This record gives sequence, C-alpha cells and structure tokens, in this order.
Amino acid sequence: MKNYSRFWLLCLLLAGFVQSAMAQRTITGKVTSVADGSALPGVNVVVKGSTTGTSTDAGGNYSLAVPSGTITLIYSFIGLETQEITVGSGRSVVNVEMAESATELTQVVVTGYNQTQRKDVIGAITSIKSEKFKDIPVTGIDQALQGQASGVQISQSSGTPGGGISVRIRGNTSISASNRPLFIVDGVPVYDGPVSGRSFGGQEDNTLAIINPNDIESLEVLKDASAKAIYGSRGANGVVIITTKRGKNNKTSITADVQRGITDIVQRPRMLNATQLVELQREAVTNAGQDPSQQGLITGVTDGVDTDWVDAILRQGVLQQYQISAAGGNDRTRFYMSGNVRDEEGVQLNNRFTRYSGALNLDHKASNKLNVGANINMSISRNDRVKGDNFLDGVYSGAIKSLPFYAPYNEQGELYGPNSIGYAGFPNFNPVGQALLPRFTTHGLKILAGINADYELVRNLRFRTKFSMDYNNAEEDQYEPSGTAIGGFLAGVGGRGYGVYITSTSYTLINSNVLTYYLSLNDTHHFNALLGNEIIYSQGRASNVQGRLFPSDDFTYINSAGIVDAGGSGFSQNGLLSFFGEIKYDYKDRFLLGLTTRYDGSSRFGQNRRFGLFPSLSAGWRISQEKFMESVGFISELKLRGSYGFTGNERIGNFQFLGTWGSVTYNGATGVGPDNLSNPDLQWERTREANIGIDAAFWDGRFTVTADAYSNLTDNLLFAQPIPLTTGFGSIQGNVGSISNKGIELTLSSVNVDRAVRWTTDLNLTHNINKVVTLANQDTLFRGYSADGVGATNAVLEGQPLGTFWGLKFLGVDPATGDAIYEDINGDGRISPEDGQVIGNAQPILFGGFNNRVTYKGFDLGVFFQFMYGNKTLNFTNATLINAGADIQNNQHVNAWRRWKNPGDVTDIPRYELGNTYNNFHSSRFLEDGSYLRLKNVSLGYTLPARWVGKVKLSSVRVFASGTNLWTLTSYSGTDPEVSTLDGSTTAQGIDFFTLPQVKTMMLGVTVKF
Amino acid sequence: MKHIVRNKFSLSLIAGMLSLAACTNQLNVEPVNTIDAGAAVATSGDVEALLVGAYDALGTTDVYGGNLQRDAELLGDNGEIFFDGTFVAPDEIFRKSMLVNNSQSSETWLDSYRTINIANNVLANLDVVTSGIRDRVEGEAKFIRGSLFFELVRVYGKAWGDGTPASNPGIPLILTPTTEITEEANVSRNSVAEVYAQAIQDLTDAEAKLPAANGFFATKAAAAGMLSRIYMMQERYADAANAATRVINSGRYSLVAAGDVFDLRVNQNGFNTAEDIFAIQITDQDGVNSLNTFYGAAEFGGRGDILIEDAHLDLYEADDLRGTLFYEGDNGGIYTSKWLNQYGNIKVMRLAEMYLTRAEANFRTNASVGASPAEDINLIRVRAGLAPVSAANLTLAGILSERRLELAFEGHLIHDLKRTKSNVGSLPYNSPKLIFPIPQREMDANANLQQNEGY
Repeated sequence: MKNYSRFWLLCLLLAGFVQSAMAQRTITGKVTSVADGSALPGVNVVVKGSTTGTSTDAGGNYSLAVPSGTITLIYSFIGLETQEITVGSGRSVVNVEMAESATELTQVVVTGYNQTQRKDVIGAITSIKSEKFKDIPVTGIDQALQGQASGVQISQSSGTPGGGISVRIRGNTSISASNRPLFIVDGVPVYDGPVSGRSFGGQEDNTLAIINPNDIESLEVLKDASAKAIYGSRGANGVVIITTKRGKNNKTSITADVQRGITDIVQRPRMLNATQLVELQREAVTNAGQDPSQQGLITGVTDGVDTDWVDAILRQGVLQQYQISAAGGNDRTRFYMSGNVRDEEGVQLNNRFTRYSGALNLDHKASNKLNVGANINMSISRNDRVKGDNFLDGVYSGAIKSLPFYAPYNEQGELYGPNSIGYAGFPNFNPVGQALLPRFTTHGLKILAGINADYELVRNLRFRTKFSMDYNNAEEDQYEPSGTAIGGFLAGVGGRGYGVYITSTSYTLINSNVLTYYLSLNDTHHFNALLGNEIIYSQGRASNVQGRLFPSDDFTYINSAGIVDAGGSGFSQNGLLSFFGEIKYDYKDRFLLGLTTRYDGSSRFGQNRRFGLFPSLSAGWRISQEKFMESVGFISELKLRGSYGFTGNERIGNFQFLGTWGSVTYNGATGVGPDNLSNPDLQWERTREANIGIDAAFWDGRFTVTADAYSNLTDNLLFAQPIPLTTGFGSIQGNVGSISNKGIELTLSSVNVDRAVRWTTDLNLTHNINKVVTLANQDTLFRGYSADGVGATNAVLEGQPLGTFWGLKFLGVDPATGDAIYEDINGDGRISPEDGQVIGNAQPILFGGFNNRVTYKGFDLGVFFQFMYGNKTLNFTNATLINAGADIQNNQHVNAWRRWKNPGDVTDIPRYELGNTYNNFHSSRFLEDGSYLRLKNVSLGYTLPARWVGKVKLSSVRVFASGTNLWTLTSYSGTDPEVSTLDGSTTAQGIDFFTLPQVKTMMLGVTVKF
Repeated sequence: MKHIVRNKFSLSLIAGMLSLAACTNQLNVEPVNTIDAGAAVATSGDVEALLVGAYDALGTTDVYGGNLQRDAELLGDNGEIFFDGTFVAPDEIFRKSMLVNNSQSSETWLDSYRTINIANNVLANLDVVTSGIRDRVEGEAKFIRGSLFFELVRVYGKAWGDGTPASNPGIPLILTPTTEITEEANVSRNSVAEVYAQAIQDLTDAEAKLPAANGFFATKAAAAGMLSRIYMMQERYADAANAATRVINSGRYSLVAAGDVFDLRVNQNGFNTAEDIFAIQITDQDGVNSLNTFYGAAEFGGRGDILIEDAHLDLYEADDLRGTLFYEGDNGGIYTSKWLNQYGNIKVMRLAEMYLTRAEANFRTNASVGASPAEDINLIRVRAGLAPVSAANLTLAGILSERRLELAFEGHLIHDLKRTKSNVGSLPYNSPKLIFPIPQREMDANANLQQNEGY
C-alpha cells in the first residue's frame, strides 16, 4: 500500500493546478463542423500565450473570459485542423468552423491508454487504417496485418480457413513462453490462443478469427520501448491496438457489403501417376535384390487403378461475406452497429468456417463534463475441421502420399475403410473417407464488451474508467465413425466409433482507471500526463469426455458409447495488478520528451519477484520546426526519435514458481506427490529495448519516410534448469538465457501522381537478426520433429537464431554408386548422429510489403505484394515423397523421377532401394530456399457516379473485384513456401510437412451506402 | 475553490479503494489441481495421502512398474530372448552397450529418487501421524525407501561380491526430503557397503513396524522377503534362509495351482493371488504394466518387443507346466504369457521365490532352516507337474536352474548371475558393461558425482 501512495499523491497535486487568469471581458461563440454544420463539443479554446482556456459544450458553445486588447484564440481538437483566430478588442462573439485535418501529421494515433497526433509520436508506432485491407477477404485481424507494417512478420500456417497465424513483432524473444504480441481491442487485451483443445496435426485454429475485421477502424502496432512500456510485463512481444469503428456526429449512414467468391489451392502437388510409381517401386525392390513381381508390383496390373487422390479430396470453395452496418449520431449520442455473416468453404472436402458477428458501439455525452460509452462485440463461429499435416489419417496429408493403385470407393460406391479388403493397409487410410466421415465441429463464442465513463474533473484533467470483459467459449463436438482410422482401425482407441466432446471457457475481466492532464505554459511548454491503474483477472475452465464402442455409426453422441473411458475437467486463473504513468513534454513543438513507466504485479511471478518495474525514456527533435529549416522548403517534416526502456513477457504459465503437489491415484486410493519445486525468484522474461528512428515528409507530405533501427536483448528467459535428479526432481523453472534481436525497418509512402489520376505507393522493409546469446548450459536443445539418422529437425544453440534447422549436410549423390554423400564432420569414417550440424534457419533476411493504389474518376486499383527473402523452408514432406525407396507405402513426388539410375548419372536424388534408409537420412537435401514474392492482393473497384445513384436515393455504390494469392514467385519445390506445420512454434518454424498450401481467392463485391 | 476541494476528495477516495482491493486478494490466486507444497502436510491424513503417492511413484514404469525388472532380464540375457523393439535405450541394454546418455538410465535414476523423496517426506512428517497408525506408515515408507536403495545400488554399483564394497562407489543416500535447491543438493556417492547397510536398516525397521496384513500395501513379510534378497546378494545365506522362513511361516501366503500363478485373463483389472507377497496394482484406469508393454504381443496391448527364443524354450522338461506359459503372436513371434493381461498386476515378489531362496541358502550352508532344500525345491517342481528330486540328486546347479525357470522374466536374471559370479555370454559377471552408467545429465548437473568405470 505504501508503494502506491506516493503515486496517488502526485495525481492529487496535478489536480491542484488551477488557472486563475484575470478576466476582463467575455467572448462567446459556437464551433461547428465545416462538413455538415453540426456542433462540435469538446473543442479546446485557449488564449494564445496563456493558460486561459475552456472547451465547448455539447452544443458546441463556449464562453471564455479573456484579457482586454487584441488577443489570439487557438481552437484545437484531436483529428481536426487547429485554427488560430485573432480577435480585436471590440469583438465578443467568435463562431468557428473546423475541418478534419488532412495531413498525416495531425492524424490521431492511439497509444495505449491515450491518443496523440502523429507529429507528437516519439515511439515506433505503425498505424494501419482499415482502407488498407478492406478489399482483402481476411478472416481475422491478425491476417489483416500481413505485409502492411515494417517489423511485423505474419505467416499464415496453412490454407485452412480459421487456422493459425504466426505474428511476430521485431523477432522472437522467447523459447518457452509465448512470442505472440498483446492484442488489445478497444482497451481489452483479448485471448488469442487456439480455440480448440485437440491437436489436428500441427495446425491449430485461431481465436482472433472470431473477431470480424470489418468492424475495425484502425490498427496500431507498438514496436519500441517508449510505445510499449505502458504495457509493462506484457509488452515484450509488441502490442497491437485495435480500434473498432464508432459513430460520428453526422447523419446516419447505412452501409451494406456483399462479397462472394471462390477459393482454390494456390498450387497442387505434382505426384507420380500409377504407371510411373510401379516402375519406380519395381526399381527400388529390384535394387534391394528382391523380386518385385512377388511383392505384387506388376506393370499393367498394379497400376490398373490410377487415382489422383489430391484431386479426390480438393474442391473449389465458396467464400461469401455479408455485412450491414449503420453509423451516425448527433451532438450528444453517437453509435455504430453492424451485423456480419462470413462463410468460407475450405478447399478440402468437408472443411468450412462460418462466423456470425455483431457489434454495437455507443458514445453518449451526458453532460458537458461527462461522457459515457459502451461497446459490445459478439461472434459465434462454427468450424468444421479436418485433420492434416503429420497425422497419418489427415485429409490433404493422406491424399498426397496415398498410393494411386487404390480407389476411394468400391464397386458398390461405398467408401473403403481402414480394414477393407481391396484397400492398402497401414499407413494408408482412405483420405476421402477421412474427410467425409468424421464430425469435427468446433463451436466458438466470443464476447467483447465494455462500458466506460470519462469525466472532466477540472479543465484539462480528465478521469476515465473502464470495465471490460473478454469471454471465450468453445465446444468441440467430434465423432469418428468405424470407417475412419481412429474410429475403426485402432482397436485400442476406437474400435467401433470414437467420440470426443470438449468444452472450454476462458474469460478476462478488466478494470482500468486513468487520469490525464494537459498543461500548456505560455504556449511554450506542453505537458501531457497520464496516471492509471489496471486490474486484470483471467479464468479458464475446461472439461472433456471421450467414449468408444458405439452400437453403430448411426449413434454418434457419447450417450450411446459402450465405454466412456476418459474424462476430465480443469480450472486455472491468474491476476495482474498494475500502476502506470506517462509524462510527455514538448518545448515549442520542437523538443519532445517522454517518460513511461508501468509497475506490474502478476500472480505468475514468484513471491520474491511479485512486482516488476518497466520504465522507458524517449526523446524527439522536430528539426523541421527549427528556424534554420524554414529555408529548406521541400522538407515539411523531419523528426529524430530515440527511446530506451524495458518491457517484459509474463506469459510464462501459471504457478510455475510455486512448489506444488499434485494428486495421484493408486488402485482407487488417492494420494499426493510433489510436482514442482518452488522458485520464489521466478520472474518475467525481460527485454531491454533501444530504438532510434527518423520521420521525414517532403513536398507537403507527398513523400514520407520512416526509418527505425533497434537493438533488443531479452534475458531472464524462462527455462527448466537441470538440477541433480537425486533431489527427486528433474528441473526447476528458472530465468536463464538470453536472446537478441537487432534490425532495421523502413517505410516509404509516396503520392507519385496526384491529378485526375492519383497513384500512391507504400513500401515497407524489415531486416531482423535474431540470435540466441546464452542458454542454461551449452547443450544443444533439440526441437521439431524427430528425424532419421540425426535426431531432430531443429536445434536451439548459442550463437544461432531460433528456428535453426539441424541435420546432416548433404553433399550430393555419388555418380558412381548413386548413394547420398553426407559430410562426415567428425571424420570417423561413418555417418552417425554426431555428424549432425546446423544446416540453415527459418529467419528471413528481409521481408516486407509493397502496395500500389491508383484512382481515376470512379475507378480504383490496388496491387499489393508481400515477400520474404533469405529464409529456409524445410520440405520435410520430401522425406516421405522422395524417400529413396526407404519404403514403398507412399506415392512419390515427380522429382523422384530424376533419381540416380545408372553409374555416371549426375543428379541430386539418390538411387531407390527398398529398405535403404541411409539415402533418406535427414539432411540438407530437404532444406530449400523459402524466399517468395507473392501478389497478395489485387483489387479493382468502380464507384458509380453520384448523380446516378442519387436518383435511387443511395449515397454511394462501389463494385469491386478482388483476388488474393494469385501469383507467387519462388524457387521452392513444394507447393507453397508460406506454410508452417507446427503452427505457432518458435523453435521449429517454416517446416512444410504435408501442410495444406495457402488458397487463392477470386471475389466480387458491392458496397452500397444509403 | 470549493469545486476543487470536492474533486480532491473524490480522487483520494478512488485511489484508496483501488489500492485496498489490490492489496487484499488480487495476486493471491491459488492453483487448483495442485496444492502449495508449503501447505501440503499438516495432518495425519496428508501424510497418508503422501504415502499413497509414494506407492504410485513406486509403481511407475521406470521403477517397479516393469522397467527395472525388464532391464534385469535384458542385461542378463544370453540368447534366450531377443529384443526386437525400436526404442534405443532398452536395445542398448540388451546389447550390453549402454551409452552415458541412455535415457532409461536417467529415468530409472530420476523416478527412483522421486519415490525416495516422497518416502522421505513421509518419514520427516511422522510426528503429525495419528499414533495408532504411525508405525505402519513408518514401516511402509521405509520398505519403499530401503527397497529402492537396494535396487539402485545393484543397478548402478558393483556387485557385493566384486572387490571391496566398503570402497566401491554405490549411490547417494538421500535421507531427508528436498524443499529447496542449495549447494547441498550436489551429493556424492556413498559406498556400496553404506547403501546396503542403510537398505538393511530400513527394511529391518520396516519388518518390525509393519503389520502382517495390510491390503495390497507393504507387509511384514514383504520387508522380510526383500531382506532375503539383500542377504543373498551378500552371500549371508543363513540370514537369507531365516528371512525367507519368516515369510513362509507367516502363514499368510500359499502356493496356488500352476495355471493360477499368472494372470492369464485379458483386459481386466489386476488382482493379487494367495502367492503374491508384494505386487504393483494395475487397473484399466490407473497404472501401466510395462512388462506387458514390452513382453506382450500387439493383440494383447503390448509392443511385442521381446521375443522368446528356442534357447529358452528348450530349457523346460517335457512335462513342465511352466513350459506352456508361452504363445505365438499374430506376427508369428513367441511371447511369454506371464504378462498377458495389460491391466494385470506386476508381481514384485511371490512365495515361490522364498522357497527357492531358502532351498539355495540351506543347500549352500548345508542347513535345513524351516525345511530341507529338497522339500522346498520339490514344492516348486511338483506344482509345475514335474517329478520330485531326491535329496541325494539335488545339486546347486539344479536349484539355480529351477529358480531360473520358475522366475523367468520376473526381473531376477542379472542379479542372480552377478551373485553367483556367472558370465553373461562372454562378459564376466563383473564387467563394467553390466553396470548402468551414472546418467550423463546427472554428471552435468552435479560435479560431485563419480562416473562408473568404462563410461
């Protein structure tokens, strides 16, 4: 308690600032909008060169006592062009019309618990307006960020609708804790983990896909310490602030959006046909000294059936989205409401994501000093999922490798099951059946709601309080009938049907209270102070039940299960208590200084480290405001920025610090046993961040440049520290190890042509170097998939980035023997796991986005490219699809056709010999350049002339066509370099393991405003 | 100014309320599926729950859940079985070529010490246990701890008969519970003799304090039986015969019919027979029978990793009922039926062993404690459907052969070979290859440990 009292004392002092000007006459007037003549409440009216001022009331009226003589009044409001009006001694009524500010410099930037104008920003903050992604049919808000902001690396893990998306801001900072940024929607930190509790083969689903991106007004990405320190122990991975649309003080506008299109896989895998496969398999068997005919491989017989399995499970999906929204208000009440339906068929059979959402935002001015508001954002989703990736019983994954010698349906038109006569045995499962038969439905519900009040205690001192909730619920309703792998093949699991039902609920309650104070001294010194506290409580509940041995496949719910043999329930909670403050100061708009601090206490930290302090300091110099720059007319803005500070990552899991005992059972008797040893010193992972940047604008903002360079070091990494096992424990959770991220970011915006044709270009580039600096000990940690001949596909080791690929180094194929040659680094004359080495990493050298927009009369054209350069992608699929004959249970990729056949052949694919695993050891043979340039979106729109639509009482009509992922430039030999089978993994990113490629979308849409 | 004052007041009020709420409960959220270790042991009931936890830990796969027994057979085998599995660790053990990073070596080490730590927690909190059951609780904890010290020392240390036990490194003796990590956690290895002495002391205490009947938990006889094993390793035959006699004379156990010794049912919860002195309890809800996992064919829930070779099958006489305890799996391999039921109990000790032990001990000392060697051996032989042997025809080799056939695949092989100083194939009984390495991971974490010879 003592700790905070000083804090609050400060705010009381602030409250004590009172202006006491000597009033000699009174000026009254009304401030209105130039656009529609409506009254503007809350506009600041200040006498220039003094602290005398007021703000307009709900009717836009003001009354101000001013000194006698000629004075200058300054009218300012965030988002509006500031006006200065000279008032002679005889004038007593001044009415003002204010216009929205057009320039980038005065645009509003939301900075955590406050907002400011772009020109005053000294942190690294990227703002993205909704126009940037409105024509891209993104499912979720995270997807909307892809390619739009420097420093922000977004990868969609696969083409599954509603699927997981990896978001990294300025690199990976953690090995064990989460690397995802903090997503804040209208002040509420939202749950962003997977909805589902069951693994579907690497691919997770994504809670953020349940929030409708069409309700978003803007996104701000906070990237450096000065911007993020206000989020303290949750800021290390960056913060994405999402602001939803709100009503404006004008006449009600109703907007209807209709979008409809088709989706298709960007590229299909190229597999051998049955005849080619028979020939290759015969060769492999013959090379092993066996008779292929005895194995049933007979040309002309075995290949009598030639099924294109990929074709059998893929389709063109239909994507449709409908939205209707209304926004408007008057000088007292403003509102925004919307309803949205989105329905996306996956390209895999039976895969579909449907979402219904609604939003209502209200703002009401209760009095001159009190504003109240509310926001409700509700969505329900239904995700019909299919298995994939490393699951043998996946759909796309099963289809690629399935032998073409078999058909999905028998002569009676029935699907072959896992034990059917006439179908390939293990590990082949009929992928068509695996798509059509199971029921994997995940029902999601998300409610974001909040109420807030804003009261002006005295002029320029405002108190804002907000109560919010983020509620997430998921129910997974699953049944795998006896014709599927789990439901039928594995007697120990399903045998006769397998049903699962999982529920999970998590909610977060947040209360934040903020005081803000603005002070201007002689119009020279400007202070913006903020002081606040926040209490966050989160709770999670889950239950699951599993049943098997169903009477028949007509009974698919667990009520009918013969055995209900597994079930459970769980509960978890955590709390965060914070105090924070911020002071921003500028001297004559030239020198800017910022000090931000957050003091966070988390239930996740040990008793000795319960509270952490996260300070940051920043400074800026607007060179363009200096006298000597006046002569340099083409530079309209030039600002140098620098910041230094600390942020943390508190997503280290609950109760890791606590010595705990868990419950056990022994033949019906219940007991306890120690689970963890306590570590009262366990704390957050800490990131020290330094950033310097420059903002420049030329020719009145025609051309703008933002460049940043940063150097971040994360230490106190959460790590299981090995301790002597004789203690009875394997490890203790400790804070050891460090990771660095250094990089540069560049954003260019240009208005190339601004006449009848307007052509704008945006380019952003990021270069990030990630490196593991120290680990708990020098041992290499192996991660990713286990691999033949070398242990694992990925490694974490000092001096290398996260996402480092491990393996043998493939030196080529011996033209004499056709065998693979690997580097024998320890020179012991044989290839063993000791010859494993670093073979590359998944981190790009450069990534970014390139966006062009051209408008001419009613036409608008957008062309948006996104790229990654220098990253490696592990084509782990080829360990199965170009397996050099290790087995003959899988179809092979067309590139297998160029394998070594005869002495003297020079090729990169070893010879095929059944059972020879040596030639298929995990090596750099499977590692490829994953660089790509992708035409992420191209859209062409036409806005009908107003005189046409006016006749039918419409205010505007726009029709457009949009295509995503239409074209990709890459040397990657797999289907798509933009995949990651272990969705969300930090240590094993960029692995393509039967992962469904991205989809391309072609869509038509119309937007009608009433 | 009045206006201002009112605002000041409301602000301080707000500040006060917030801070109050903060201090009281915001950060003291409690875990739910686990409990704070500091609050775990307060009542007698807590200690009893802890004791159940110790049994649960004792029954994990890496301890008496089967791997300890499996590894004794793999390490001692000379062509009677074949390890056909893909797991590296048991394969290295089977081939007598363990590496320092063998995962089973570290799992056995960890899970045994984990169990010992729970037992130590029980022993450190005996003062809160209700006096009426305190002796029993102490006896059970000491049975568990003493048994594991004995198991560990014979896995990680040289055999008692190999060199000087007083100077051969054994394993660290941990006698107090771990509450925090300090420099003292970096323990050293006690000598083989010290570990044996501690195990004997624990088990002697246990035998004195345990009741004769105690459900499926440890009993007086279980402690006595474990002592007989220790004495046999130490070649203290008279003590071994006496200990075995105490078990036999307790009258609580009896030999069952040949077909009832092992659980030949499928997929049903395990049970103890009248012959079982101590067994790990397995049900379809709880526990894993790791011997089924490795010895059982796929159709009975196992991995089918351990195949029985003709070299073993040929050891049985034609009429030996024990020779029928084998079956052919769907894959054509021959498997033992002893671990057929995947939910069957794991027999750690059964009465037949006591007769075999007493017979051998009496034979070696030319004594007849309790009964003559021939009488004891013939109890086993007759039950197996074989003709009795006369005292004149009874040899030590015959007794050992009977022991091998009766107790095959139950975890005795390597230990019997070591105490009888018999070769394993071409390896002498004291080969370093027949001793587990101290886990490399443990060597890395604790600089005070000394690695075994040959690693």
